Amino acid sequence: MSRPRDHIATPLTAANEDIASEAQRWESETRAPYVRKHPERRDPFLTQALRWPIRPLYTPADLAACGFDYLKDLGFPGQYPYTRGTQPNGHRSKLWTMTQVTGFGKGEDWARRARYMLEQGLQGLILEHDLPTTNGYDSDDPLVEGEVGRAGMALDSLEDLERALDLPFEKLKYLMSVCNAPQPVNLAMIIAALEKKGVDPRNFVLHIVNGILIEYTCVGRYIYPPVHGLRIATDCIEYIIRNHPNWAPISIISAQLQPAKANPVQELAFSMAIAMAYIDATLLRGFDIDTLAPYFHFVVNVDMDFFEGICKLRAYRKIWARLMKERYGASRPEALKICMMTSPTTIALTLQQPLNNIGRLAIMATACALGGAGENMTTPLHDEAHALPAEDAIRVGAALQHIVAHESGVAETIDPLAGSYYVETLTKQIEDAAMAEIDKITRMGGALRAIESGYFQQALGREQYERNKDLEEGRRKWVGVNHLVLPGEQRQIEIFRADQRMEEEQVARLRALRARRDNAAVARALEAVRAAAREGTNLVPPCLAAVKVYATHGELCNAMREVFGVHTPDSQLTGV
Amino acid sequence: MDVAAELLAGKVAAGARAIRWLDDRDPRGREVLRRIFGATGRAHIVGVTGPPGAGKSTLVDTLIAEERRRGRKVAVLAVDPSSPFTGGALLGDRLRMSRHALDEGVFIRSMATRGQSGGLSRATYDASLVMDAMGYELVIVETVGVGQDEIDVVRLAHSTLIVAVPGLGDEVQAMKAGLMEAGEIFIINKADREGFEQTRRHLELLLHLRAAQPATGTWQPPLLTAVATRGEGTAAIVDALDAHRAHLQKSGEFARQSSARCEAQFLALAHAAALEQLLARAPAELLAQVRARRIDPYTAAERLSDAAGNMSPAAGA
Amino acid sequence: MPEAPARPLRILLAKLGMDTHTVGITVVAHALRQAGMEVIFSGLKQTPEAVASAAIQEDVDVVGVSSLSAGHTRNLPRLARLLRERGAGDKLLLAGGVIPPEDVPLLQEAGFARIFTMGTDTREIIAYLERWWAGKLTAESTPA
Repeated sequence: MSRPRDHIATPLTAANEDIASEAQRWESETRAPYVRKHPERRDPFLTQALRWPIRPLYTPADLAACGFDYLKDLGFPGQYPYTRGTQPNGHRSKLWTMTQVTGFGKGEDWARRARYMLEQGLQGLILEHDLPTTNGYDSDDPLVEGEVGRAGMALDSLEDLERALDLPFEKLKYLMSVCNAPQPVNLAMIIAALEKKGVDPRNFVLHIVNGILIEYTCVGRYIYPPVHGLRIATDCIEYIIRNHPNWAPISIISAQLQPAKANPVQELAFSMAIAMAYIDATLLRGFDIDTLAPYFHFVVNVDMDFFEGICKLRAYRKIWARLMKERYGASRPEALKICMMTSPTTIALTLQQPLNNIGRLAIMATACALGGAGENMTTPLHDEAHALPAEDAIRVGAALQHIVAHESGVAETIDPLAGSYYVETLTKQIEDAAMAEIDKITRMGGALRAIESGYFQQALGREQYERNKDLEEGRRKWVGVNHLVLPGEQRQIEIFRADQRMEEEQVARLRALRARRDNAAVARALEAVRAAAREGTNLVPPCLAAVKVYATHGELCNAMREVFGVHTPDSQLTGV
Repeated sequence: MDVAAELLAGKVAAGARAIRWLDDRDPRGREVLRRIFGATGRAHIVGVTGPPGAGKSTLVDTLIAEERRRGRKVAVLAVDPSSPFTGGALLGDRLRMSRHALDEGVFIRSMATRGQSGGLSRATYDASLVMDAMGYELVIVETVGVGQDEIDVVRLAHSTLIVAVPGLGDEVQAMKAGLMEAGEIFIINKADREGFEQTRRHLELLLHLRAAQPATGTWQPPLLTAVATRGEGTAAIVDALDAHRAHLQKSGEFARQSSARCEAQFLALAHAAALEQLLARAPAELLAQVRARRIDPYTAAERLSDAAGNMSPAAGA
Repeated sequence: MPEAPARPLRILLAKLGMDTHTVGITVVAHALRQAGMEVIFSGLKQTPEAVASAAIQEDVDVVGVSSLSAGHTRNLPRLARLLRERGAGDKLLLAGGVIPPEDVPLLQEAGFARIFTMGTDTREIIAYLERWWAGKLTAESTPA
């Protein structure tokens, strides 16, 4: 799929023509003879993810040939099209916010850890839920045996959340919840829990990811058919904008496409198409683009290919601005400026020789800074490849960001790589290819259609196969894995094991809850949810009423299953 | 295990093994077929075809549920293409029907085309006989559904369901040559989609034109709608299948088709066997001459049958 | 068009448990198809009962299970037992994913012939299967 598009050659200025012909002379008189004596170490040279050819040298003539125009393509920081940055002063006034992943925990354990982190000065926390919860099941469902509380918190009812949110809210300013498929249930529980704690929602930001379309595309934690998944997500966006306008109702975590081996063009195109699907659905609820667009957050990670990462970040800013302006007619800067968090990706890290990962993170964090780190950077900890973070790793991860910020100088001027012949050429190529792919997806009927027809999944399946082949056949060298391998290295695989006793306790609590609550009230509340599902009214209010009478997470998800059905996926393996 | 006996008793493992033998052209498969053949001819064979993206597998999944609700045992043959280069295949249809995995009254079997064109595999017919003999009242054959190759399923099935879907762009999508005339039940799936009205009008027109043809039989193909992901429209489809089956049985068509299939299979097998024998008796250089273009194919074929004619069947190769 | 081999190896790939990562199993599925095998995918979030049922209906030669959550110490032995109880104990059982070395003996005892941990080169898996398959075909064609 991905090939850089051949530009219609723009007539070169006399100066550039000279450069072009000098470049040709250099190639035939200087470089080629050298190469004949010293053959190149790769053939061909390709970028890591896109696998696009990399030329030996880039000159102003290349820029001219792709129609590069400084004012049109770059402009200035804080001005349309924001290629050089959404902030007028880069990182000179304010550095990106440095964060770490909270780590996992279950119920009270999570609360204890969270309290510790708040005491250490962290102001924001991430609520991760266990697999039964994100897939819409209660802890006592036979399907989920062995999974309860393992990958995150087990959230069966409001009671569980009340216990987990036993926190000093005067210190906590920000809470993020990741629970895409059952979003209205999760949202309702959080709202109800905050109410019970007496927290003023205006002094506090709840950020829900609400990213069901990426779940269908590659992550796999979905419940209902895609058209209903989108409706549910839209209900949540609408509810939050109308009732809690200071909250964040949607995150497009393009970073999740990376483990699925999306290349930068696919990442850009698929995530933008997905964003537009949410936008289109929400606009129908009576909002305008200038109000809506600022609510969208992107999480975009960089991989090890330094330049692909930097150019991708710049292209992201430009493409969002162009789409909002050209397709939706947005005019407010807040709507045109993408809100983006960037971080090094974990998929570049290895189990083997884990200390090497510190080096990798340094390179990727530098790429983030050079590409314009956006609001926020998270450094995944150097041994995340196989276990939960240890305290040393936490310290090193944090230090890395400070080293990049204060010792390297890359954040001292704005968008320092602009004008590089290679960087601008690659940025433009990525932009053009991504826009073409976005057009293609639009013609197909948008992201929803792409998901239903398996287009995204098949494209990703092909990439997965091809990239794996690159690795197996040695075209891609990965230190510790297929290059400079330590013979006899014991690869430790530590997994977070299920805690049977904890699971039993959770199940017992759940059963006790069901016994003592007002089951008639619960039944009525569930029927109201089913009615809203059928009639197309917003699902959040009836879910809110239901969680307050202690309807459980699984019961609410099942009520919606009865109306929406369940999604059986297109085979994701038909790409090749 | 005595595969033939066990499959006649309805044992899935035995039926699965028999299908494997037939698929692999293992001689044990032929043996089994000999023994079970008398028990075949009762199952209603239903073909399901249509373009990719029409939601065939999801539709079949809901059909299974509805048929089970009505107390019938259902078997499904899901056919997917083999790679023409490697011979391998990815068979993923069953995952759309995974909710029936534990229902003893449902037998789902995936098959690869293994070099066969036409949307089916060579062994699909034989596999349907096995399922028939096992006692499945309904055998659903879901084809590959790409290109114009869906036509083989029409010959195999008693009732062919053609699944269309709105908004795929090309209104003539599934209506490739032969399908419009041959399908018995037409379904517009994903009927809640944009473009539904257009698709419906188009199909109604085509069906109207078909009804006006003098060669048409007495069956009026219904145009149904469904939203398979919600299970909507399924009951009507099953009713139509029942009606069509009754229609075929009343007119004697049911039995006639079974005979025609039997004959077709016999001829195909005889064809293959005869060719094998002819080639075995061919003069050694004949094939080389054809390859070198020293003789034309017609002359070569004549020489082949001459060679066979000059030898008595008793003379070995 | 070249004739497909008369007896390609049929393998069922399944994911047990709630985990939905598909990259590993996708890559393996494609590689096996490229190697001429017929790969049947039973889907995500499968139970051992459903996988056993599918393995028998499809009469596969090999069952390959991917497990990235921690349920493998319970799920995988259960699957092996179910297959044996239903007379399908002669199918080759393989497991892959995140399986710590200390759990391997338990799985092998339960009937899993080989564990291919995360990151195994697909060519190694294919070579293993091809060797096994060749051995099986030879054993079957040798008169008893």
